[in-house]
Amino acid sequence: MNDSDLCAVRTIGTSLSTRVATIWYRGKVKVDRLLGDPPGTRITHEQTLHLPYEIMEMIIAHFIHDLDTLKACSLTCCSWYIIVVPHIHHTLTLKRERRGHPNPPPTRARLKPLSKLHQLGLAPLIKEIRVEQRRDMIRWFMPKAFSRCDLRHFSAFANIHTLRLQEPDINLFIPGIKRHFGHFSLTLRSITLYNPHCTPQQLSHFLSFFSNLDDIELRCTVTFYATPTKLVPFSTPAPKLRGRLALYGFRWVETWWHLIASCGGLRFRHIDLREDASCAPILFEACADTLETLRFNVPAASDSEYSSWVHS
Amino acid sequence: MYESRLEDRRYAMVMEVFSTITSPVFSELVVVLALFETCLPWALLFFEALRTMNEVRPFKLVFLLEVLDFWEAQRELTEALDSATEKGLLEFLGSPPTIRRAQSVPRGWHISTPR
Repeated sequence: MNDSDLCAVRTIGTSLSTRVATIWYRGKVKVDRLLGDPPGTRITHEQTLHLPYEIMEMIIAHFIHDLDTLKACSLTCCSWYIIVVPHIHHTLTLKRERRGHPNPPPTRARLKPLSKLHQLGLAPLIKEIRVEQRRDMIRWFMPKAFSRCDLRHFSAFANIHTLRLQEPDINLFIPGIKRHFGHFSLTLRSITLYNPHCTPQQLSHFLSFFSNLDDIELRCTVTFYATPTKLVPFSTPAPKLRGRLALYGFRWVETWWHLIASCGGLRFRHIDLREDASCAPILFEACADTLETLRFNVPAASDSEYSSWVHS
Repeated sequence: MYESRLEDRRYAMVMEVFSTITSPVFSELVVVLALFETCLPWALLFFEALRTMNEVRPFKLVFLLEVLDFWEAQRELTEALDSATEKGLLEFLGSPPTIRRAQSVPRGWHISTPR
């Protein structure tokens, strides 16, 4: 046997021993897993791989405004999906058509998400509904937009606590308010209305329908008056209104007269007044025992005054 | 002249609004600055208004910045408040004023209000 043969035998021997050692250790690990790890190792293993559920919830809560991250998390594993899915489906937005859309979808198409959510059984997860409408386009969110099927799906939202409506035709919803908003009356805590189309009395009537309403936000850049209608008092208890009131350019003092009369007073703890202070005296008087925080902006001067001041 | 008219108008409005508060639990007054330019015309009368308000009902003063460039606005406002403190205009406050950043409005939901 020459040197080269000896070298070949050594190489084969080394590779064989390596292979045998690999098989031995892999086998040992498998046997250990079957029989159970040593206690110390097992605790470390669980601690690193299984964070407590509530800690995972806290970590994921940091991403509640980042929908893409939430969607990625939901694909990771079953436990993450369970934590993430209520955040993903927290808000339902019934959108306006895109600007410059060549073929604006028909009215019914905007309510299509309702049937989809209903089919997937996701309706109980929705906590907030937003309705987007543009002032310069035909408004679509009105009673006639709901087919019987849409109305049935819309009524399936049993956990809604926030409602945000742009340009809502309150006056059109008032006659059948129980049919369209009756299922929100007990759960709704916060409402935001952008440029509501109604009379001051219709607005207060609408707001007083939601028994557990605490927060109200009204943003008005344009004042719309509607045809007055006969208003029948609701049999449901009036709201307590103990949270936050935010008014942006809102001037209808009559709304508060009616609301104070129907609710037996206001109990807001935080008031936010912007652009207009017409309602301030009546609100401060009504909330004389409860007001804790006032927000206001220093009113801006008119353009002519401002430019004169800048150039002076 | 225009400056004094502007200040008089602001002073009158703020005083009128605030004078109607009678709540015993009132504790915080938040001045919202949507455009940073609104800081510029601040003058003696504004701080005098705050002093009078504080005598009627003591409060904690907060400035809420609703601006795009928060850090720059915060820096300038801090300098302005430091200057006011040096002049003794904020001595009446029990604690120094604080500056907060406003939460952003959901995308597509901002409705600008006319000046």
